[in-house]
Amino acid sequence: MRVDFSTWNELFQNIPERIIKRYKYYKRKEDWARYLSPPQTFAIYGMRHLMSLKFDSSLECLRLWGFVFNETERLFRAKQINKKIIAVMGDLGGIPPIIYSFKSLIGFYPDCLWWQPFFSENYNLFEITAKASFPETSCYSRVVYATFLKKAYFPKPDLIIASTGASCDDYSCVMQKINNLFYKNTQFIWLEIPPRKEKREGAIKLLKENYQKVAKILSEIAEEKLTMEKLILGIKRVNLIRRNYQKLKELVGRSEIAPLGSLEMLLLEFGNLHFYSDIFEWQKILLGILNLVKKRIKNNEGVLNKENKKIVWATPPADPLYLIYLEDNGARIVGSEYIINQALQIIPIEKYKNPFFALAESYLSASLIGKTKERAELIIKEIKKYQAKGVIISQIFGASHCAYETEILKEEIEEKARVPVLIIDIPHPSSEIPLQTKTRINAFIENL
Amino acid sequence: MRIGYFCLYTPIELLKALSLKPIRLIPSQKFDLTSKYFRYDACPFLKNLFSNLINKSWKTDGIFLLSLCDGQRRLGEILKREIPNLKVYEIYFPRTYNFSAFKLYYEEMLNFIKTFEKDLNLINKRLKEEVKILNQKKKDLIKVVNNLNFLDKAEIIKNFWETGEIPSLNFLKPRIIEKEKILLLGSYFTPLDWGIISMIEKYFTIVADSFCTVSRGIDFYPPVSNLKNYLFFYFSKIPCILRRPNRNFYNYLKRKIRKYEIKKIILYSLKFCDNFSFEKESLKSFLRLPVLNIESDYSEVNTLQMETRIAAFYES
Amino acid sequence: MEILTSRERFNLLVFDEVPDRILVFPLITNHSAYISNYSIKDYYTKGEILAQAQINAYEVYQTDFLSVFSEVGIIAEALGSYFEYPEEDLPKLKKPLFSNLKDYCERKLDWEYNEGKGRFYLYFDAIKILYKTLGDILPILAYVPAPFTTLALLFEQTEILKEVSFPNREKRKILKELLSLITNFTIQFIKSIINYGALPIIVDPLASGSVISPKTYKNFAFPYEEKLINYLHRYDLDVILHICGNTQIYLKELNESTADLLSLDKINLISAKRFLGDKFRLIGNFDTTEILLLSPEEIRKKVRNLVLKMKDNKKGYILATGCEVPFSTPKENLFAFIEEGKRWGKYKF
Repeated sequence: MRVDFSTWNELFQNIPERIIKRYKYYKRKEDWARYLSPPQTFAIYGMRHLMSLKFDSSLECLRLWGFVFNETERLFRAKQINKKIIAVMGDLGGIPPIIYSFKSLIGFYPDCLWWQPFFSENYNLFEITAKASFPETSCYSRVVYATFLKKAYFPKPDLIIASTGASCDDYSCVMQKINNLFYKNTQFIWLEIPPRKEKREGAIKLLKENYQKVAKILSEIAEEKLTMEKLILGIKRVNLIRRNYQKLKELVGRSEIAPLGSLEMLLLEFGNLHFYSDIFEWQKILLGILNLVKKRIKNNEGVLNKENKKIVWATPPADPLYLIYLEDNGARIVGSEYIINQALQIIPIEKYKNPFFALAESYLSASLIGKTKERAELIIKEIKKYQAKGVIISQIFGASHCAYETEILKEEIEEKARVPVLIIDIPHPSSEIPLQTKTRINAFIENL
Repeated sequence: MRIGYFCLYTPIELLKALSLKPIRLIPSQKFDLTSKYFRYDACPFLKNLFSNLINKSWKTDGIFLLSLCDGQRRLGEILKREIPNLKVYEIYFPRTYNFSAFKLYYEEMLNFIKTFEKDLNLINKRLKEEVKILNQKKKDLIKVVNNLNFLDKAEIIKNFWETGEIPSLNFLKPRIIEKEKILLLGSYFTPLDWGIISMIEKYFTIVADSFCTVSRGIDFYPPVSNLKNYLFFYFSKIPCILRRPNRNFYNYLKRKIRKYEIKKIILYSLKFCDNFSFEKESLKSFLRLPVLNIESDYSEVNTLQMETRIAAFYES
Repeated sequence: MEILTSRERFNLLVFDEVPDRILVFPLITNHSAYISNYSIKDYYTKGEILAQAQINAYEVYQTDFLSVFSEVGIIAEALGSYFEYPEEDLPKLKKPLFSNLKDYCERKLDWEYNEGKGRFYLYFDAIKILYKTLGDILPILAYVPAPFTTLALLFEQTEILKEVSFPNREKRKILKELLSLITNFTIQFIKSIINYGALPIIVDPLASGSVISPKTYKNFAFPYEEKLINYLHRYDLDVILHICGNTQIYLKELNESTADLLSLDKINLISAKRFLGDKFRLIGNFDTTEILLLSPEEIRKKVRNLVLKMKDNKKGYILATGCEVPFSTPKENLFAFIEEGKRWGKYKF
């Protein structure tokens, strides 16, 4: 069932104390490691948008929400228990398998904080970037700079890794500014993202060398030798998560009635990036939801009307309210291309003796490093696989990839998949979707 | 074969050694026609470059594109859709100074070379010649433009890239420094931006710039050496604000500031060009000079506002 | 513009991290009506007025919290005690629900909860507005009287204080039963507050050491405060317990509390720090008479002294007044308090 904010407050009353205390992160026993809190907890600490969203009413999904929103505190706690914090930026999925092969390292993507202004319906982070003269005509990811400046969203990293190259310009600029902030007192390394071209050997070699370099530095920071066995074990753990997510996505996409809402699916997809800073707990949460979905499918239970029309969504909407609105108005998201394809692919360790090569090959499936046509193919694959009737592409004003790819995507999809495409812009944080956009979404769904 | 290019990292000497005729694409005209593939916030330069290509402002058979910025990296795909008969050569160029990335770039260049000439020894030989010639020409050009006012300098350098010609010094008036000295820097500077200069020069004397289409294009001299060393020079020695980290570019600016005793900086960037517009605060803090940021998208609507801001900057 | 918002600052504090500076929290409640030129009656009967007064106070003083509070009778009133609403004073208990325990036994308590009872709307309306207006940058604290305080307001006070001080076994049972009912009712109120986005702060002014003995506190106040705290902990919220008056005599009992932040009034906070500081984030305790009557210069001196001695408290410190800022406190005095608190409360950040 999908329930609103207040209903979750009622449902939470029925959860016994022992269950609330059961779920803890970093395998800790202390009370501070709890995370099973309802949306109200996070709303009280400023996540105002939660009041407008709808949530799955299962305990498994409550666990998901609690875990995702607890991440800031979790990162501070990690530092307090002497874990080393690695901030990874820009590559969206390549480095964490190496980080999580070390016992004492925690990796996270500050990039994901671009959601912060939307969840808190707040402009403060934008005000900080405006004060630093960042143009208003740049991607929302610019707020990541403000989170570094504030030191209130994650502890001071022990290492910052920034990847650039065949990636978007805005975030490359944000990373450069962060580099300027930290160049004196924090280790900061730049990595190159090669483009995906027909001949892949050179790019694979470059990525492999990148990863080896990173592994060496991480080893020094963790004061732990990284053996090939450890790395393979780490990759296998990541592959298990990716495989379970793939299964989940297929089950959800192919089932007759949607067994899970799109917002939970989006959170789950992004969990593949860095496992919300605790790979072991994430593994369990994902498995719990996979089992829930299987059960729901078996019992023919769903969270949306059977008649809801099937849609593929491309590019993550910075504002989650759009997904809720779509579902409330007769659509259902069966497939997605949230520009993190590199974090969803199985790392082919069986294929290579050297696991760094496997990591490199897997990374070359990244959404944005190739031609737009190739990204369109990813979307078309989703359309065909899940028999979607239309595609929504959400755009961000100022995001460099959106400026050049959206029309090509539209053209390719309409021509090759023969389904209509709606392009919408996600405006600045607000508690409401603009009326005009609502009307366009409604008309689009009606005409499918 | 005539091959168009615009990025400063284009190895022109090598293109010449391959018997290609490189033409620097510096648009002088603005056309209304644009491609549907560019969203409204795409780079104004790339949009206008496209319009000029489709309007055949240059006689060119192909275009040589590097991947320095996202727009440039993505331009090839749009050109292939819109101008199918234009040959597009897309070469990866590293954004970082990662040596592994250089190896990939070098490999791509070798593949590019091989499509025109298989004999690398021959290329190496020709390359040395071409480097020598162009270096000498650039040195001659510097002597001519060194003491000119900025606009004359920009025009002569533009003509040089287009025709290879260097005018005689006798016909040119030297620059008179009578106003506050400034450094001008920013995105790809074309004749469409020249209008701003008269506005700036009402208040300041532009004694230095770092545009890749003006001074930065002739400030660096590749070595007369083998192909690898030559390409490594392009990879490692030429500063650009787009490289990561971009400290080399700041050091280059610092040298100019010291040399020309500059007191203020004007950052003239194209709208939606994050690579420059994000840097305003860093310019201030690293160079410790006042910075004025002016943005343009080649439209003239904000002329008066721009002039007011320049005047205010002068008075500040 | 400070680098952190109050929310971010508070979050760091509760994550056991050192923020940019201590949080500054003079308990501005009806004083906000005073500076807004609102009548007190409007302030405690109209949610939109209460909210606007708090917004005004924030704009004037730039403090780190917003307060939703009228007086401690809010739950007793919802349960049936009759309060009158003077034009220029706080609500006054006119007729308590019960005259004595016997009366309670005869009539029992209707403890069925709904949000429409008494003046609960005042809180909910105010929280809704504050949450929408400033909730992104400021924590909103909604003051909830603890069961003992509510109990005292359901009866003639002298009667009930006598009963709790010397109960026989039977009366003890009745009192405990009644306190449990009040606790359940209060929990429902807390549940609603949470749903509107405010953080409940538990206040127990009638459990003050100036009113009851440590023994009475231990028997009739503490266990029910704990029940509320436990309920809030289910949500993983950081619980603030505020006790007015002198609590020096039952510091030992207080140390048993599972609250996360302790707001204390008339107590030597610096010596309490040694006893409580490893366990609690301490909040306090500038004397409210002094904030009303001292000169700004004298206030500055005292604030500086307090902050410098308290800011290194192991679990963190929030500079606050010991209790509510008096209604007509001069603005200059609060400016002095806040400015000085922010100035001397800076941490290496």
